[in-house]
Amino acid sequence: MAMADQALEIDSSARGQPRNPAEWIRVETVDRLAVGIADGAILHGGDLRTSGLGSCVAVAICAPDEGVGGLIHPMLPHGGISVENRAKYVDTAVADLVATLEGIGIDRSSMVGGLVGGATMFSLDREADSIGERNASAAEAQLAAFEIPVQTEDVGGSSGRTATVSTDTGEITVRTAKTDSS
Amino acid sequence: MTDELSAIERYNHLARQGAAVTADSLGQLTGATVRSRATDVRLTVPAGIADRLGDRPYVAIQADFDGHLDGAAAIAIAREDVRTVTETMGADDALHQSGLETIGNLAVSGFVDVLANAFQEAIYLTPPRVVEGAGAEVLPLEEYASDEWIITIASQLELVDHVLDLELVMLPDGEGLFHALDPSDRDGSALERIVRIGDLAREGTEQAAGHLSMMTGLEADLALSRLRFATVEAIPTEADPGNVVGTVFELEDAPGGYLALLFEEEAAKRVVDAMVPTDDPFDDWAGMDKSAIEELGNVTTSGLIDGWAEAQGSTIAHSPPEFVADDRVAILGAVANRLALEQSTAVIGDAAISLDGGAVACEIYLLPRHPLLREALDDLMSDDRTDGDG
Repeated sequence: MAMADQALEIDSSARGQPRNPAEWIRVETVDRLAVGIADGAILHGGDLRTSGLGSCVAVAICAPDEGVGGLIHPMLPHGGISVENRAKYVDTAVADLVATLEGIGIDRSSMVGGLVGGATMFSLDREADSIGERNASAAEAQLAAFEIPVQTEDVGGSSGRTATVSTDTGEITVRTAKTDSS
Repeated sequence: MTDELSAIERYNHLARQGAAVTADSLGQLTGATVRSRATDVRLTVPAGIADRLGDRPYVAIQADFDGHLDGAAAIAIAREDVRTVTETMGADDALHQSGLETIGNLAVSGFVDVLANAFQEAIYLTPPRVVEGAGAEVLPLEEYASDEWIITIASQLELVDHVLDLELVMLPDGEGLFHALDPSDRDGSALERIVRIGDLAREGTEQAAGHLSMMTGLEADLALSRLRFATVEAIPTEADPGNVVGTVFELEDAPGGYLALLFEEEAAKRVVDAMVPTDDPFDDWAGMDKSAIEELGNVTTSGLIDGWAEAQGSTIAHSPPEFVADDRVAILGAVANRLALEQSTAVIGDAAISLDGGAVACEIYLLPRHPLLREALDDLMSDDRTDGDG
């Protein structure tokens, strides 16, 4: 996958470290970027947006002091060690996002997290723990495991959401497709 | 035993590799980040491609190939997308034409090289020719009937934040393709089984169109169906965001999985108004409006699956209709997530029924579970053989 020509210039101490250990996470310097399903991106000072969040959960990790943030949109809670597509699972995707941010010189202690999505869209999903609830729990647990505090959380309910992350400030704006009835 | 789903999965995997190679080449050409967003293999008909491309101006690069596979290849790119690429390269109008040929060449040869490498055999391409025109007329489909099944690859590339839609038509002799994908398939039975699913989906869509017309009193103008073979994550990725209203069912018997019938919100209001005309104000999808959509879902679903059940010689039980009113991508994403618990790829029966002169479109997504789909196909093909022998 092609990388941006203009790399983030964050911290010289990151020199020699892999700039992007997870190839699926794009590191870009543009004003805005859409993040798809099973996809992820990091921006320096622009807006990251992901739509169509139903039972999927979007996880944002930002370093507001650095004006850098990343956003992922995994589908299922747990992938395990040898998954084919690490972008698809909350546990592997969060680990890759943290590693990629660290790879470009972002200190873990400056990171704050945000969670959006994890809705229960159908009653079919209510038979057992819904995928949405499991996704949200897995994201909370994984951020806690990396000791990243959650600053914004908008999860659950039964509506689809769109999330926009301002990487300048770490602020997350959430829009729903309908008025949430739950 | 022939495993058509594994063969088509392999083709899909190769198509994704071809898209990644093309994205890399375009990235090097433009100096920008280009990545493959979604790629899938489709069993479709020329009329379906014509409907998808509409009458917008397209540019296609056509080439014939022979060697391990014989056939024709063409890639169609919307003219405005070509301009986006050449502008990203900083090319002026004089360079526009050569840029366009370069892009087409990169794309066609990228896909063909991936196939040749995978099969460890040579595939020779003739020099490319550039064809410009409206919609599907730029593609070499003249020798196919408008309702004849063909296998194509559709790919979306993303140039920074701009999505480029590519329609790649690879038209190898179908049996030859499946034999190359799975050398143990000597009699073309994998293709036969894939086409059987396509036929059932098509017949079901036509029945469903009749049921929709009957329920709403709106005339059905066009019913198009196709099969897409994609990764589960591509199911919602390829859908356009937007509010839709409809029903989702879980199929409890083979072919299993999920069925979603969706209308854009305004179209759904029109449908409800046609079914239960009332002067009462719209009640925001509660009460009568919701019941009408659920009932329409029930009746349309029976049109879709009754023929399939009859061909299988069984019934297909399904859950009660689950009313949905939300963003299309979020709904399909939630269905994809359920499928993703047990499979990484999906066969998507994807149909569109146009009613009332195109004012109302019903989108249908049939997403079977692979083990149950295989079971259904085994039943269907063994019944067909028995019928044929008898």
